[in-house]
Parts: sequence; C-alpha cells; structure tokens
Amino acid sequence: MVWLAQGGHDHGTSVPALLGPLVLLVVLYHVLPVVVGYAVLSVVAPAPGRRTALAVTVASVVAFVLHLLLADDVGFPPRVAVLLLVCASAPLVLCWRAPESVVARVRPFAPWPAAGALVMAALAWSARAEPALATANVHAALLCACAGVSWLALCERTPRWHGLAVRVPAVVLALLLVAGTAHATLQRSAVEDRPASGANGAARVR
Amino acid sequence: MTTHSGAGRGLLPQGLNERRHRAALLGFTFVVIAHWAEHLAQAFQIYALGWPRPQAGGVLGLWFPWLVTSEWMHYGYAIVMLIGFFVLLPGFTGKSRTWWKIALWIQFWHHIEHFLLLVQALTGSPILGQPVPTSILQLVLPRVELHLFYNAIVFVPMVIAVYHHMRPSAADRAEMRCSCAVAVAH
Repeated sequence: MVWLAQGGHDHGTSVPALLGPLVLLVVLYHVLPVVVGYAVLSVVAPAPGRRTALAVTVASVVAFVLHLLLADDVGFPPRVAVLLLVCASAPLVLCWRAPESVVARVRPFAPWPAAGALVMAALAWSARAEPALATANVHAALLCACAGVSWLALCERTPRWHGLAVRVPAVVLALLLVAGTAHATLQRSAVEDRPASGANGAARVR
Repeated sequence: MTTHSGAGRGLLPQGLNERRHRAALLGFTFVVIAHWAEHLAQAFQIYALGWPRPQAGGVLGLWFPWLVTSEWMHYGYAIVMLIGFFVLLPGFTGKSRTWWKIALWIQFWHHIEHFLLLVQALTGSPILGQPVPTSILQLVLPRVELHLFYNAIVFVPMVIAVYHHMRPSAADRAEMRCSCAVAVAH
C-alpha cells in the first residue's frame, strides 16, 4: 500500500508498505516513562546533572513530537504548536550546547515556564468542548505538559517552601502526562474500532 | 608533515581534508548548487510561469517525477548533505570553520524536518491530522517556499565559508593543511 493523498505539491513515499501509527505509539510508550519518571522522582531526587537533564529534555521533545504526529487536532492554531515546540526545545539546546555559565543563569527562571506550561495544560484539559473536540483538548494539554517537564529538567531543587514551586508542578505534570496519554490512546482505539465511513474514512490510509 | 585534527582519521579517506579537500569541496559544492538550482527552477515555474504546484517539478522532476514525490529521496539527499558538511569540516579553519559550522547546524535542522516528513509518510500519521506529510515549519510557511528558504539559509553561510577558505587570513592560512590553501598562495 502506498501513501495515496498527494494533493498540491506534496510528497509521498515509494516504500511498498506503511508501517502504521502503531510504531509511533510504541516509541511513545518507551519515551514517556522517562519523562514521567523524571517528573515524579524530581520530588525527592536532587537536581539532575547535565547529561540527565539532556536525556530528559530529549525525551520530552520526542514525546512532544510524537503527540503532534498522533493528534488529529489540538484545538489551537498549528502556529501555536510550533511556538510550544520552540519552548519545549529551548532547555534541550541549553543542556546540549550552552556554556555552564549560561545554564546557571537560566536555572533560577526555569520554574516559571514549567509552571506556565502546567497552567496552560490545566486550562486546555478543562476547557469546555464538544465531545468530538475533547480529545483535541487532551492532546493540547499533553503538548503543554511535555514542554513543562522539559523546563523542569533545568530547575534547581531549593529547600522548603521555594522547593514546592518545582515539586508540586512536577507531580501534577507527571499525573497529567500518564492520564492524558491513556485517555488519548483509548479515544484513538475507540475511533479506529468504528467502521470507516464516507470519504473521510477512505482519505486517511492508516 | 603534521596531521590537522580530524584529517584523514578513522573512516575518512586518507588526505580527504588535506590534499583532496579542494576536489571534495568542489564536488560537494556542485551537488549543492545543482539541488539549489532545482529548487529555484521550481519556484520559477510556480511564480514566473504560473504552473500549478503539482506540475512544478523543477528540471529533472519533469522527466523523473519520483525525484519530487519520494520522501525517501529527499531524506537521502538531506542526510548525504549533512554527512558532507561533517566530513569536510576538519579541513576548515578560523573564520571559514565558523561559517561552515553555521551551515552544518542549519542543515542539521533541515534534515530533522525531512526525517519527520519521512516518518509521517511511513506511518501514515501526518502531523496534527494534516491531509499529507507536513514538516514543523510548514505549519507556518508553504512547502515549496519553506524548502527554498532552507536551502538558501544553508547555501549562504556555506558560500561565505568557502570564500574565507579560499582567501584565508594569515592566521587561518597557517592552520590550513589542505590543497585549497596552495591555490591562493601568491
């Protein structure tokens, strides 16, 4: 089977078979434990070293992109998704290439984008929508959560009350990622189990 | 003769970044310009000749449409170009090395975009439910214009790098071990 939809100047693949979105789900289920595990452990574990932070940011960005690929809609304009990806990728670039002095300057501010991402995720999840758009809201929340965990990797672990600004969002983001991914997967399965009907069913070769 | 760092090491052919650097660079530049010319031809067909986008296949694409439609071919070219930037990097010094690295990093992102397109084509899961495989920045710009832009912003620093490589400062020339330095000797 080949990729059939080729309207406009669009490209296709000449491979004889489609791998299908299952591959994306398998990769997501391998990457997500890294992201969620880090978020949960950050409650008790000390701030990560540069390599660990890099691994977490890479996993977060990969999870972000996988959710982009798996989502049919996110309820906001695609350009906002690009901005969110830039936001999620910034800690990755910092951990990978930036001098330690630059990373050290950014660290005190890292809880802010993490908290902002959490607020956006909560708003996206709880936004009122028709049942058909509810999954889009969950995907939007997942994108925000991935960006949030990416920034968590840069956060310092200050003691006492200040530390709560990192630890509470970390736990909530972790729960949100697990619950959101489970919800989105179940919704996807429910849609795929329905018999394809009309032009829409035939247009997307899955 | 002392060996410049990275030159002729490991899997790289002996002397690639020394006496064969000029030839390798010329070959690489020819491929890049040919590809760039195809993109320019495609843009000319769309904007100057008013051809519909599906028919605007550049020059070779008119005879071999798979050159335009195959995601494998596009990804293959992107990775070959990236490898070329990596392999030829040790031959560059000073200012030219900085510009070559800029081109390399932009090409790295360009390659990621093509990798995403390939993944979407292979899995049948276009990004955000788009009807066809779509790259990240294609959510902001149309594909023809975007890839024309990508090739431009890779090509410009590459040309600047080659210019500084061919006409190096005294300090950069002292570090050079390739045949390109000989070509500019007075």
